[in-house]
Amino acid sequence: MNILSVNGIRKVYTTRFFGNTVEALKNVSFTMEKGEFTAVMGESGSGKTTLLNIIAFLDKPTSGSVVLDGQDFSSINGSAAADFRRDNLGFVFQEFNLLDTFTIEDNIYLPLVLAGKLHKLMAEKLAPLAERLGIAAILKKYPYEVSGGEKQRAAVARALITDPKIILADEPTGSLDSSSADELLKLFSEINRQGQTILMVTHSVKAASTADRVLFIKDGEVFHQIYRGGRTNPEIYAEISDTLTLLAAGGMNK
Amino acid sequence: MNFMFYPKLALDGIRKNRRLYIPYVITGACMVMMHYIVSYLSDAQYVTEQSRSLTSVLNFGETVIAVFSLIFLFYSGSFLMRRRKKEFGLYSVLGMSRKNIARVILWESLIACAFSVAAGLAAGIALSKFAELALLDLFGGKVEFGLFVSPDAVLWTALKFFLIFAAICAVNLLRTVRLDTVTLMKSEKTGEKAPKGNFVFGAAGVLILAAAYWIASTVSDPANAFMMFFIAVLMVITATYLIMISGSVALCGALKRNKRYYYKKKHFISVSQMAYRMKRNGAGLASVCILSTCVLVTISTTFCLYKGTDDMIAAECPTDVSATFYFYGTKPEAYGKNNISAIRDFLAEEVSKAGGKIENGSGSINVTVYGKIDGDKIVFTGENRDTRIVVSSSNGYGSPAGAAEDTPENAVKILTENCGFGYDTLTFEGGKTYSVVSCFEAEPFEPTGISTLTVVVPDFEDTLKDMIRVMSPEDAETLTVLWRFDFDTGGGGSSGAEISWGDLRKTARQRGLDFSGIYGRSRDEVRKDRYGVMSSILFTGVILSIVFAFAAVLIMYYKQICEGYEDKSRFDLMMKVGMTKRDIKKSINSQLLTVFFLPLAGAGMHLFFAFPMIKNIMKLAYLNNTALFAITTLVTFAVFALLYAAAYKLTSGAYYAIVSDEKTA
Repeated sequence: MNILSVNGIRKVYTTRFFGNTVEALKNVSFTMEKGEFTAVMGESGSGKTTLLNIIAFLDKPTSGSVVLDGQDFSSINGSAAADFRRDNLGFVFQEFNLLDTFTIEDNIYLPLVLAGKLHKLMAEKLAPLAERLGIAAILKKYPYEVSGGEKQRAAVARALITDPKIILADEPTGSLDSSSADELLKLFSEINRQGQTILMVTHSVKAASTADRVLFIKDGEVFHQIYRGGRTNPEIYAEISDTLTLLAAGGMNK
Repeated sequence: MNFMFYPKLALDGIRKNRRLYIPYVITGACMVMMHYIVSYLSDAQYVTEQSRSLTSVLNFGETVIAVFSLIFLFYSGSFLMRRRKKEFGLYSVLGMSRKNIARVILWESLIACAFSVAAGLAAGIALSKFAELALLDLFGGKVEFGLFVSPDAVLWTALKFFLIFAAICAVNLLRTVRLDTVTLMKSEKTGEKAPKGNFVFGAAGVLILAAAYWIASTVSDPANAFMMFFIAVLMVITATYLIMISGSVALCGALKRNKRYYYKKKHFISVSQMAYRMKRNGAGLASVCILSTCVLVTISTTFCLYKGTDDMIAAECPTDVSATFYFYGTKPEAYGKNNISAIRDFLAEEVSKAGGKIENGSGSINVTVYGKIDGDKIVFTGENRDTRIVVSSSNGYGSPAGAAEDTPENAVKILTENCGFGYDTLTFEGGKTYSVVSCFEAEPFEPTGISTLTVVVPDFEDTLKDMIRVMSPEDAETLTVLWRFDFDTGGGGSSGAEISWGDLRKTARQRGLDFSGIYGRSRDEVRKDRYGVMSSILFTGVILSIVFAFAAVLIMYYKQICEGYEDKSRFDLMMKVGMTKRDIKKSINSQLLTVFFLPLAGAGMHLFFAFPMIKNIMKLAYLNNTALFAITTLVTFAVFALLYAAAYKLTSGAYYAIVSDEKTA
């Protein structure tokens, strides 16, 4: 069953002066099954983040559509979009984006508070989640008091607490040291095994090699994809590296 | 390098930060304008002619404005710099040396200073005419046409403000240049923690405030009230800071602990943001509260004093004219009834020569000595640390026969101040014994604290003769007998004749009348003098209140704008995780309402408790019209609240524009 289908997305930016147009995405189409863990790779400026913003409905495509769980995004707007995001999507950012005015606990509660949930219910949801993510001890601390790895795990908890249909992760390991990054990727694999759909945009070959499938984007198009097909992480790692080398050399045809 | 590079960079910096710079420059200009107007008026010739008190009150106002401008511009200037640190850090990364950055700051300060002074002076010159008209209208002077510019005022104002801006610039340079690139780039990320011993500070604040309120509502002696007022003001200021800071810390903590309240969409964000900067918040709120109180007290008091001027004059001068003749030493024939009535006839003659006629005349004679009250006996000592004994009489001294002031034979009326007298008879040392027909303890009119016993006797001449007999000759030589005669001059409410006291004295001497001196004053003179003082007080009060109100609103504005910039990234993120713009608006409103109206409520409370004390102080100025004062205070509060609400509207708009990134300004 498709949980997400991205159909022929095109995104054109018009610069403020002289009306120059920049085509960030030409024609991107792909689908994701429920429970799939997909990584999107590409060089800087290839349109990865634009794609993620469109899927997250933070940005509107010039043409094409995004259908999440059978619902077409382009049919909702304004505050309904905010509600939709809150209830169906979970975000993990490179810079963690935890609010420094809140404790870790309150940061995790934020989407639920915005959804108007009762505190008792929120606490019930948080307890097992915090246990699972190993952040139970730091819940009362403020973001500036904990390490980068802990911050990112708190951000993952914030993304998971709404039971989202899909988690969108934008360079989640980008600001982490290698051991924290490994831990986070392990965490992602684990929650994916429990049935969570994850879409991750990344630069890191290591990060991408934990996914079931890797999409390569170049010049605004899906250029290539690799399926895990039962292979181990190091095997995938090697293939991703080779693909990237070919991509950079420009010798690979569709 | 192009020498216009730095000015351009500075101008660009100002333009990019216009949301911060515009209010800063406007504040500067407003202060310059006020300073110029006050300085111009204090120099104006007709003002110096009008009354010396006016000049000194205006000079006082000028100083207050200059000092306040220094403090306040410093405050907003440092706000401005704090916001700019990151920008300067970027310049530094891009390869600017500290010297280069210092030049940018120097140019920015220079431009801001030039704008403020130029705009302020222009506005000041333009508005000085209105201010002049308003002032003239207040004390009923003649209006002169034409716009005048006072070069002195321009020069002094420009110089003072140039120095103020230079001082601010110097401090900013020291602060910014001292920091290294990394510190400049790093923005504030840690929240404020609840200070230790918060409860103690809060409790101390409440105690101090309660004590101040207690003082304010119990001090009934006007002279003490004046001194105690300043003590109470200092206490209230300290207490306001303590309570607002620890109160906001405690409140934020309590709200956060109340999970059912805290974890509501409406409260979650605003409470956490207030807790994040609870100390700064508290201090800001306290400053605004104190400034608001200043405005309210100043306006209501000065307006009430001005409005009550006629009452004061009526209390001070019941008749058109009051003439006092005095007689030194022991010359019983001089203050004898014959001489007094000759003087009275002479006065009547002079008044009719001036075109009026004596009406409602009432006279009395008195002499002041010092003595001790020993039981029902009065012993004269001549020591001025003893009780003041005033012997007075109106029988046959100019009041109509059988007037209420008259005393029956062999009887006295007694009035005591700060001393009691509890006997049915009174005996003067070496003199007669009288029966006491009435005895009152008077409320001290002038709060000197000296004990005074006033005895109204039926036969002044005999009593005085008896007194002189028992006194030492030296003490008797220093006696001064006063005969005071109050009368209307037949103008039917207004003055019917103008009397020149100098000429009157000369004529009286030529006539050979026996007296030592004259002191005379007419109600018209008193009125002119009083209105001069009161209108200058009102005028200066209004000007200072405008300055204070401006400052209060601006502190609020700056606080919210700066927080807006800090909060912007947070709201951005919250929109990503599913917050709508409507939620943002609601959250802002809930936060701003608290921040804005807490100080106003505090100011209202201070005013309420200060009311009895100010009322007492105004008694010093012969003003005893509680209803007038109450109404003035209420109206002032209402008007101020209205203006305050307008400022709230403006600020919340700007704040929303910043956090939701809508283009305005």
